[in-house]
Amino acid sequence: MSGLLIAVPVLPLLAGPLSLLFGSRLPWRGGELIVAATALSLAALMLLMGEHQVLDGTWFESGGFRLTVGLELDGLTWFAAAVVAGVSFFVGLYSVGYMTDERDRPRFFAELALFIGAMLTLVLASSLVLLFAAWETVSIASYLLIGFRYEEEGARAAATKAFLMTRLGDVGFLLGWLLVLLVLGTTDIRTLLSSVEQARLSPRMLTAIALLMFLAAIGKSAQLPLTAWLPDAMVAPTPVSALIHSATMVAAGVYLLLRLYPLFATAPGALDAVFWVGSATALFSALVATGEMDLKRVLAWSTSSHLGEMMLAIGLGGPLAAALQFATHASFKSALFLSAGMVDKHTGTRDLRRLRGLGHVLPVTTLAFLLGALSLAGFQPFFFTSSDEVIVATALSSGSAAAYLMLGVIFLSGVYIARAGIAVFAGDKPEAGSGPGERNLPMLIGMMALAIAAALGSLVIAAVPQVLPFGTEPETPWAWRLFVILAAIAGLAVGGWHAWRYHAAPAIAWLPGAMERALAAATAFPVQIVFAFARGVARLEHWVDAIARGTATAVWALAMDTDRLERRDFGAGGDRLAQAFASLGERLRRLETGKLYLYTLGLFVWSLVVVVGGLAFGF
Amino acid sequence: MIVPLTAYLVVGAILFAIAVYTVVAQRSAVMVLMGIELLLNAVGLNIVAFWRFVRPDDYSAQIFTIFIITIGAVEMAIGLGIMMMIYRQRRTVQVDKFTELRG
Repeated sequence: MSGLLIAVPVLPLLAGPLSLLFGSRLPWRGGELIVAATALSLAALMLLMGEHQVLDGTWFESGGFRLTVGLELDGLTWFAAAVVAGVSFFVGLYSVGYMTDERDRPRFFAELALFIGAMLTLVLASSLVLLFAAWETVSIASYLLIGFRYEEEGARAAATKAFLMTRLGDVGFLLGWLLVLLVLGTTDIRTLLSSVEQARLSPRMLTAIALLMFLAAIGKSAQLPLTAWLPDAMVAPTPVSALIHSATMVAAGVYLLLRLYPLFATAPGALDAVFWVGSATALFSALVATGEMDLKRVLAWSTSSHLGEMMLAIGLGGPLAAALQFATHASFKSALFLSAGMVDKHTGTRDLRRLRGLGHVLPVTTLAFLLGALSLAGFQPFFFTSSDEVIVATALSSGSAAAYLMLGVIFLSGVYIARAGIAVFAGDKPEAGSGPGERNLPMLIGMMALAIAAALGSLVIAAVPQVLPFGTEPETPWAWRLFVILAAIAGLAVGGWHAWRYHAAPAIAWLPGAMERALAAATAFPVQIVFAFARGVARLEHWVDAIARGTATAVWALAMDTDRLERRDFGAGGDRLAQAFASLGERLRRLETGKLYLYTLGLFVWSLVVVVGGLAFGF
Repeated sequence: MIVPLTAYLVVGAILFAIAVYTVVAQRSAVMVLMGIELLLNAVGLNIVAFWRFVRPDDYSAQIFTIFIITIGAVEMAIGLGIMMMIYRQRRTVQVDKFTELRG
């Protein structure tokens, strides 16, 4: 059955080149390849449910170092891979419809396939080095997809910004796994975790590794202070935002912490850092989201905020809560993004100030947005436990301050999502729009499937704890469940009322916008430094190039001179010498008369000369 | 009457001069060969004369002379053989005609 496990990431990776090669001849321009590949991957994962498989291979050994690559299927990796494959399937379906009018669709689907394959590799990897390779590959795919409409204003800059800012964190990952390799001599994750359990590493080393890994997670999951790239990445096509920048890639940071959770559990200092960064991001991003004017940017800040909530849960020692939030967030946020894509497609704008009353025109989209928004705010049908409640329960286990903070974040979530929803969908019917409406079937299917998955997220919560290796969920006191729901209702009410009354005005005064600008300025700074550095390197390289060019020119001139010397002087000299020899030979041959008597006469004369000379000089 | 050494040497020198003249001046290969034979004999006469008047107790000069006679016979055989071959091919033994190897 190991072939099935390999097929999971390999199928989408194969679909990418195929789409590039043959996509232009297919009716959906390669989209069907993506949908088929992800469907097969998902099916393979379903067949593999509950199994535990390890495929390991040694990449190479050098000295005491052993670099392995391989895939591992256990509760956590299966769970994450299923979430990724599921969201990928529906978003892939949606993007087939969404991209209908775009040029260059095979390229889009190839890049999307590259991303999906790399992401599945990332979650299934059994070795840090393979995980790192996949981690970098999703970065590249994200870069390519953000810059997909490269001729559009800002797309290239946003792509570069996203790439560079996540790179800052990737340095941490690189150093982290190199440190593991240095200490343990292998990159195998199970070896790392078992040596953590057997306490074979010093606490200081554990903290160092954990903090480096957390740096990677900060960059990938858009935590403070590396947040600003995520809203800018919203210039990407909406399916990309839904898949990469909310459901999967940005959640990879959280996933990394979950994967290495035993490591973090033994490093309290690192867990504290995770908690503080997570809670600061959750609060900050939620505040900024209340003041955004662009529908997708609201969702992007909300993504950052929710990832902060997951970090907060991990920091408090609640990986289960984070994992549940990871799954539910993937479904409701991608549903919200996909409905935002519908709005964008229909109206041609995402500006909250110019949108209103779309509930009359796009009823299905409104329904999907509503389901997603309710799930986001923490409501679940039939009063099932929501993932927010699990986080609050986790927070309660280590004091109520963090729980109050969570309540605040839940309140703010309600505010911004209600504001955005009411501003876009409620109000008077707009003037006759010219948009395509809701006639695109693949888009509707993808969107509604994810919205329904979001609404049923509670069932996931009921089913998942048996799969994940993190124990059972903590019991939430009834009073706190009530608090959570009340906070959500209050948030929705405040946000909704504010949007009803003032349409798209920032819900909480001017503060969020100012905060966003300050953060953008603060984070642009390191990026500018990197740019300046790169420019300096480029100039240095230019000089080096000039020097090399000069050297090459000089050598060439020297060679040309040598060549001329060779041809004109040495060559001519050689010719003249040869001619001299030839004429000498011509002259000498006249001595060879062929007359025998001359020869003999010469012989005798010569003998006479020698004898007479010898006698005369007394030899 | 004892013939003095000088007389032998004079006869040898005359023979040698005649031989040189023959080798240089004759056009016929047979005559050239005869000149060469005469050269050898002139030298042989000299050696015998010097033996007889200077070191009569040392026989190595006689042995040397016998060698020279032998060499002369062999040389003549080879030389005449070559001449016969050339004559058969060219119908002439005039050495001036043989100029193929001229430079």
